[in-house]
Amino acid sequence: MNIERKDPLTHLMPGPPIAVLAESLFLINLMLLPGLAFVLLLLLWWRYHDHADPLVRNHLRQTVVTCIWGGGLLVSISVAIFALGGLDNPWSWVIGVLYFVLFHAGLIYLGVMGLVRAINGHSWRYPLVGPRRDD
Amino acid sequence: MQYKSQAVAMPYFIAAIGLFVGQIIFGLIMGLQYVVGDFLFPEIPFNVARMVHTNLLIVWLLFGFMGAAYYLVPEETETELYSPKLALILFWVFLVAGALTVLGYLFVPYATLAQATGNDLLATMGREFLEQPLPTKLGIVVVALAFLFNISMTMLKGRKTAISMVLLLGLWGLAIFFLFSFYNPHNLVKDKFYWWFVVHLWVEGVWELILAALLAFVLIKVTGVDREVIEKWLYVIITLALVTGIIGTGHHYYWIGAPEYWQWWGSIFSALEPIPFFAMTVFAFNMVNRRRREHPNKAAVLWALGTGVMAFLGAGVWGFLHTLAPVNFYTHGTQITAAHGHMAFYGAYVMVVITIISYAMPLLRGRAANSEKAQVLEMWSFWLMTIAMVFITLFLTAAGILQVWLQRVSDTPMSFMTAQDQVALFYWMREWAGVVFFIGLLTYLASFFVKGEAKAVAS
Repeated sequence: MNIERKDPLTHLMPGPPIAVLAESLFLINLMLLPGLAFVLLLLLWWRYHDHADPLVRNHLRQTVVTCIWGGGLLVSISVAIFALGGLDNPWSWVIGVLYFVLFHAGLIYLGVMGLVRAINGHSWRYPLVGPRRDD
Repeated sequence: MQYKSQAVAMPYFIAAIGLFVGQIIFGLIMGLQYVVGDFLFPEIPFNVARMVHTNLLIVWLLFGFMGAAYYLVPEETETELYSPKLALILFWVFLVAGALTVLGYLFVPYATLAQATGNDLLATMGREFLEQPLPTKLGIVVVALAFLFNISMTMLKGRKTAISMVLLLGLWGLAIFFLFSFYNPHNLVKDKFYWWFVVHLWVEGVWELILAALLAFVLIKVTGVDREVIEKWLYVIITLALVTGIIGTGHHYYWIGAPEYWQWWGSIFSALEPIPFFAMTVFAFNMVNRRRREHPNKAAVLWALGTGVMAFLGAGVWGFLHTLAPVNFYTHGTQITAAHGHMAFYGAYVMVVITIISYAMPLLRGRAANSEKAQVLEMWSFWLMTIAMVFITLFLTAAGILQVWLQRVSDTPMSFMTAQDQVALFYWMREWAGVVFFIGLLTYLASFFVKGEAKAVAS
């Protein structure tokens, strides 16, 4: 299927809006409305996962899978640090806070890359946790 | 270089870099004083080293902003500068005043300096970042007004663009908010209240406009993306910056004796303050990702992208870390604040000034871009300084978290100095990261002197 894209040099948002929305929800889940944005992302995926545009499918699949993996790693390792180290241990806080902040910020930056790729009409694969893009 | 008068930017950039070197040397001195308390005492006491470190930062950034304006405005307005001569006179006035002030800090006891410079007539000294003697403060106002006259007159006679208007708004804001440094009420609560009008509304208000305008200018030049697209982003970013940043001043009013409602206003609005920095990151990557051409100045592109990334991390993420009132109740004034301050200043303002210098200096020297060899060295300096700053921030954050625990959370809280001893390991690691930063800065300096085949200016 040949899909015409707008010129990225003259248009503010040449990429497909659903792909942009998926990446935006990924970022909103990290920064503004954790949980709620994830539910909306799942609904978006449910509605459009077999969309005709491969870019839409790519971004939906990448964001949903990375949300699950990234969120899982973020929460489970943070909990493990405090569970193993103990809440009364200052080193649990040193390691736990630094881990959470760095991992969380890392996911945001990857989300920014995804959003930029979606806005400009390109496909994207989240490193390590993102599924292979041609699936 | 399209306009002759843009050349006046060069001495400003050179002075900025020179003062940057001085700032880092004093940073290393005080970093060592954290762990070797009597290092260089009594010649350079800690309080003096700190004052020189922070004041040099402010002054060299101002030199950078002014140089950037002198370079950018003629090109944006498509006309020569109103008075290049005035710009050069102001350069020397500002440089001499700055140098005399630093020498005063170093060689005259602060109380004597205050007495000798008329602080009893109008008391403005003794406040963090605003330690400058009265004549220096007056000098800053005169230089700023004359500078704004020059830039505004240039804009009045030329083309008006969104970028130059936003830059001018930021520069006028910078000058206007500095006037609050002359108001020093006896009531300590009011004193702090207005002191933040200068400090906060500079770095989390009007300076963000300057940052966004400079970034937008460089991105137009290096990507070739339509001005209209970039200007739309610029409007969004400055709106977000002002909406969040102005009331976000409240995060400084939590514990100074201001009404309690500031804990709500400050928490809510400053929690939103990362958003304009986030938008800047998206903006920078978005424009580079859709660029029309590969610009020969790869180093400038790298600095521009780095500004977006590091500003969000330092100002946004590390700011959010301790901005909510219930968290700030524990973290206030600890090394977590220092961690945030270091990365935010570096990411937002140091990097944007280096971005514009990196873009403009080759053009001022008659070429589109430096040689490959010089650019490789400059990119090395980027990575050395940036990675070193990440580690400085991480070590200070670790020190801060431990400090909060030992001093404020523990069932058996330690005194300030006992807690400081316990985090000394992190101060040592911070100092070594600082040494790497300094090596990066020297590498940056060296990149100006590397010869090779330079890229010609495009016709």
